[in-house]
Amino acid sequence: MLLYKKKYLYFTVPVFVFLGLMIIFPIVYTIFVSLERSRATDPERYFVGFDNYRKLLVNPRLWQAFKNSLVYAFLGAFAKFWLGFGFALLLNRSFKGRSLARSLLFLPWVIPVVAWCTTWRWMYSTHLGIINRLLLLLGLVREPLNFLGARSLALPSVLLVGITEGYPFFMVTLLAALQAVPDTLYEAASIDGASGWQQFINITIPSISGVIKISLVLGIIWSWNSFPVVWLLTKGGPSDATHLLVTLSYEYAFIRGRYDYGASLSVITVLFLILLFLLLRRLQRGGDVGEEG
Amino acid sequence: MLVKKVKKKGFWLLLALIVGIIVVDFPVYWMFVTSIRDEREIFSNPTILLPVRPTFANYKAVFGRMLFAKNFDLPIYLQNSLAVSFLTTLITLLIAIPAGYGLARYPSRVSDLISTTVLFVYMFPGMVFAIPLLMFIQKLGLYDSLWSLIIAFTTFAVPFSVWMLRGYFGTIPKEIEECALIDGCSPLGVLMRVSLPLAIPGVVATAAYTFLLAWNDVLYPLIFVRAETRKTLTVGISGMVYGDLTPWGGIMASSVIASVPPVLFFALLQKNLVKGLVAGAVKE
Repeated sequence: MLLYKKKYLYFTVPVFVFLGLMIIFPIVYTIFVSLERSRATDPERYFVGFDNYRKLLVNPRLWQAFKNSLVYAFLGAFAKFWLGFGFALLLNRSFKGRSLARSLLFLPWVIPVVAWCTTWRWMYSTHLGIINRLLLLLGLVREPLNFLGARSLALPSVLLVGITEGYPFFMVTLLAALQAVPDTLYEAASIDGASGWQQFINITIPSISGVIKISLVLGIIWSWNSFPVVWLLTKGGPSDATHLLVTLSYEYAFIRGRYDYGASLSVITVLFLILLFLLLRRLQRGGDVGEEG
Repeated sequence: MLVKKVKKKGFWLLLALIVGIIVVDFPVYWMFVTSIRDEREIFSNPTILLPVRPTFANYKAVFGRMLFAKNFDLPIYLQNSLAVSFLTTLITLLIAIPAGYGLARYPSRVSDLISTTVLFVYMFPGMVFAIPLLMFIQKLGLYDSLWSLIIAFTTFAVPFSVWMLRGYFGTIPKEIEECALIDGCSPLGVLMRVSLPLAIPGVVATAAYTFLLAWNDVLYPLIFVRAETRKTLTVGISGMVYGDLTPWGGIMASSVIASVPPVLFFALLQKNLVKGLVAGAVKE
């Protein structure tokens, strides 16, 4: 131990420089831009205080995007979690072809998001898409459905693509956690006469609860921040029905050239997420106290 | 009796698994099947789940720049994506290997702080960095160049790579290094001659992740690159979809081509990659 001196920290100098220059600085700079008037087409920039925020917070588009982000992040993360957990439980037994099954279930995560979304657009296509063709063939619908173009269908359709693309992360994470639970616990429980369900509730769930919590938190954050699925499928449309805060921020900054609004929306995206987690933590603490009492 | 019951239960579980696999992998199958059908078959009767006459016409069309929308230049996109992904990987490893090693070998409060920062930063949406990075790149005169993408991707690959590599270096027994140190090797020499060769599986996994991050990204190529000759595969493909007139056969062929490197990487390195992915979530 004596041999490892502080000079090992010199190895991390490039990363310090890098983190400072490329990551911390942009975050701070985004906050500055959000307090300015700044447009792509106009070199004139000046400080305007919280004007951008004031204007955005009364803009119904922001609240529509906020609602969509909530639905997309929470519903998406929970659906991905349950699908991934289900598959992980199915895979957590020894049977022939297990590693092939795991690879096949992991495949959607491996396919690039562009290929995945483009394929879904093709499958969702109103007149030629396989989904509409099958639904018509089975007599489940009379008219082909406009999955990505109809206001009521667009968000669920986008959500489905996100879920099918994202569940494998939960699957492999939870599978690893399940396999780390010592067999002796189950053996002891079996000897004491605990049923499969009792073992699941009293051994499996408590043993992996830490991983469940972390993976859910990560899942919510990633879904909240997820830009490509929505942008590649609908660009936020039809009439904002699928816009998330991140896609709205992109639209303002890079389609309309309003860097100021784009930056403010990015800051709002992060702040809202932090607020949500603070709220969740409070609720959870409240719940725990209630249980104990 | 008990054996029979267990067997029956096993059958249902297996059935659920098979149905699950068919449902979640159907898009992959459909992408491939569409890519080996000719346009007429695609537009006339796409419900037939098997292709009638498999053909490589779509692949020939996209590689020969013959897709009906003439500005779709797959060979260029492919070349750009490969160049950007490869250089990003190289630069990221040069920065991340020493940092990951340093953090693994000097686990002080400082090192925990850096790890926390790395993780924290990883939680921000790409949009938070996009506007300043664009301005920065314009200032450097790199707008609409492949270097702009390499810079942006390296920014996001470095934190995660450091984090992953720290884990891998941590698993190498210190005793081996201490022997080399006692024999008069410098810390850098120990890293290059002893630890790095031992950490090769981890380095390969990290390299694969970085490559795929650059290969798959959509946001930055959309923002930083305009000219047709500098587009990456992701932007090239996504720009080709317009309603029912889209040349789906060619697009699906391009999507299959874009999927080849990731699928190959995971087929070859599956254990390492999945372990790296899981280690992050389980251990920290």
